[in-house]
Amino acid sequence: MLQSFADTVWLIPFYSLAGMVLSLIWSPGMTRKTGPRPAGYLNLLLTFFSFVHALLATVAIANQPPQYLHWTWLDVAGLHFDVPVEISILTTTALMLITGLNLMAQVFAIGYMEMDWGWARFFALLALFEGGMGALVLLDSLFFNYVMLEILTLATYLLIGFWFNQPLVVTGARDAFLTKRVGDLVLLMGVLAIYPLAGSWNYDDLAAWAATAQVDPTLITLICLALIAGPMGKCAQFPLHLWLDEAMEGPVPASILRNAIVVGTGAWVLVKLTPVLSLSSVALTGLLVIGSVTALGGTLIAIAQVDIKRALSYLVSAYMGWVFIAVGLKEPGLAFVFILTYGVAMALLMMSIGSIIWNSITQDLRLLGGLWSRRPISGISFLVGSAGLLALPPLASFFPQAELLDTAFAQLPWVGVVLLLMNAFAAFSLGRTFCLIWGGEVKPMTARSPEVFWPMILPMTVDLGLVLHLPILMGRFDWVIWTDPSLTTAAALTLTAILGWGAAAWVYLGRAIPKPVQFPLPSVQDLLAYDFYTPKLYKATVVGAVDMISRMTAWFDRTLVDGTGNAFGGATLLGGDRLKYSTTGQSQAYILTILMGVALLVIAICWPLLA
Amino acid sequence: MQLTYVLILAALLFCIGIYGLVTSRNAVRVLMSIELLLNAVNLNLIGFANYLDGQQIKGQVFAVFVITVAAAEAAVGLAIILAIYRNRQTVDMEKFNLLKW
Repeated sequence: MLQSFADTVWLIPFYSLAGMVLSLIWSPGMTRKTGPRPAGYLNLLLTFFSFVHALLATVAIANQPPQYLHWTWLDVAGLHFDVPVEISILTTTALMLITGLNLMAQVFAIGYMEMDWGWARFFALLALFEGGMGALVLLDSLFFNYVMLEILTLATYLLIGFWFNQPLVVTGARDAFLTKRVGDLVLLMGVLAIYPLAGSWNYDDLAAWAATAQVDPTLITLICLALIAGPMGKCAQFPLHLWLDEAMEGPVPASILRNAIVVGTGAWVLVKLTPVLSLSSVALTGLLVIGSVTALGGTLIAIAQVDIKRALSYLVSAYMGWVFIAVGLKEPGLAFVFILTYGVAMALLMMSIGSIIWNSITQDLRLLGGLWSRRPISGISFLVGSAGLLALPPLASFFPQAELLDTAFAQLPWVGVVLLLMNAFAAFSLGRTFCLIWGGEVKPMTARSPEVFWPMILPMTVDLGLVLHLPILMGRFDWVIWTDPSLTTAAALTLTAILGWGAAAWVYLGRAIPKPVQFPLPSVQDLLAYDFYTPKLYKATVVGAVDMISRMTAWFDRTLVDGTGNAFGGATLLGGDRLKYSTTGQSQAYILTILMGVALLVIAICWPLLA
Repeated sequence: MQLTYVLILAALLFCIGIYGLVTSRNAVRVLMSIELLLNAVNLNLIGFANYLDGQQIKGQVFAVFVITVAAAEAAVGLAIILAIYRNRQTVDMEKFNLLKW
């Protein structure tokens, strides 16, 4: 009985798909009697089924080896492509995470979207998100994962652009789409380039091929760098990180999903590609550099943000940078575990601040304060979420982070330093956000901010319990092979986290430093607050170059290409206009023309005879 | 007295006729030029009949027919010119350019 759930786990994306299609019934023209809400409840129900299915499947195949299913997708002219599906503890766990977090986000959305009339559209898009992610983790092929990444790009675009009557929303959606497309285009080059070499797109075949491959080092370096570019855009790594910040214009429930798991899908593809990337030392170094720069830059920028959602969005980039570092150190197992623990904790953080945004009118951290007495549940959720994200024992994220730190100090000590600094900065950033919202004195914006109603509190508390119990669950299900981190590592991580948090508490709770906090060097503060001036950098370089090139090509198109065509037309017009004067209307002129013509004809015919 | 001379004379007459046909402004002179052309043709026919076909003299028969047709053509042509003159009060060929441009 249980086994049949495991065998049919590939059905899970179809639940979401069905929910998405059925939401059409409650499209705006049809909601006069029912209102749009049934669409939400229907999708919620189907997501619940997905979750239960994934849970039962996980229980069923807890200790089994992975199974693989194949369907023929394309079989033409000697080219044969299967749709490969991997059913293993890894994919069902990922499915459980995806459907579980979707369930929470959708319950949260019932509360958050209380007064919105776009329910059918919103829940349909969440279903598309869910189905795309479910299919991505099930499909065991680089090519099909690329397809799913594109579907997720589209869903991201639509979800960010949900409130499409606001200009910032429109530009945010556009930028997210274009930035991801840049990464995906380069990724597609890599995907297509690797097929003639490896002869397969299935991850197992790729890993088997990579184990013994003899390839030109330049070629494989280029391919690996192209393969990294896709996840770079997806995971909002420097310098493709700007979209995630702008994506915060979208509704909070979608941001919960995006920050918690959708960015993780890029990391998922990257982690699966670890054997291939290991072929090129340049690519591994590139991963480490990108990851380190993003980890440090993201946490530093997060510290300088005044918008709650933006402060968290840069932490998302930073922690995805952590995954890049893990892959760069060839630790795919740790990266998978971290994607799981990170997703659960980040969802909790996002839900907590989402509930704050919902009835505090403002998202500006400077205008909030003193909510601890009014919003204890949200506050505890934020505390537990930040503890779950930071490397704090005994919560789940601590173990992969500690183990990676051990590996880093054994292999590349500078990476270890980066990881410790990142932990301290992230702790400072989270501590700062907490102190600014929940600490200090009550301000006008927070004077009337009671705890929100149950659809938002329920998923928050459930996730809170999940974050707290995740280490136990992970031990129970054998998701992780536990290794004991060394005492110094554990102490270092704990110490940096506590120091960072403590420093934030001292700065933002104490009276020693005047508020708002001014950094001794205003230029550095501005640099961080304006996100290293990335928007200006984009505008000056890429956007400016594209703008200039498109102007030039438009000129070329209008003047030269169109001009040539128009010149032919003009010449014909002019010719007709001039030639009409040969029609004099005088019969004698016609007679002369005929006679001359006949004479010429006769000469032409008789020429050979005369000569 | 050779055939060539006759033919050259006829050709010259034809050229004069063509010149008159193309350059005359008076419609009646155009008709008269056409008569010159037809006479040049008749000279050719009779010349060929004399020198090449002395037995059956088919050329002379043709010439008779051409003279006949020329008379008929002159009659019809003059009638047309009269009709045009009644409408337009002129026989100037350069005024008959309704189809201009």
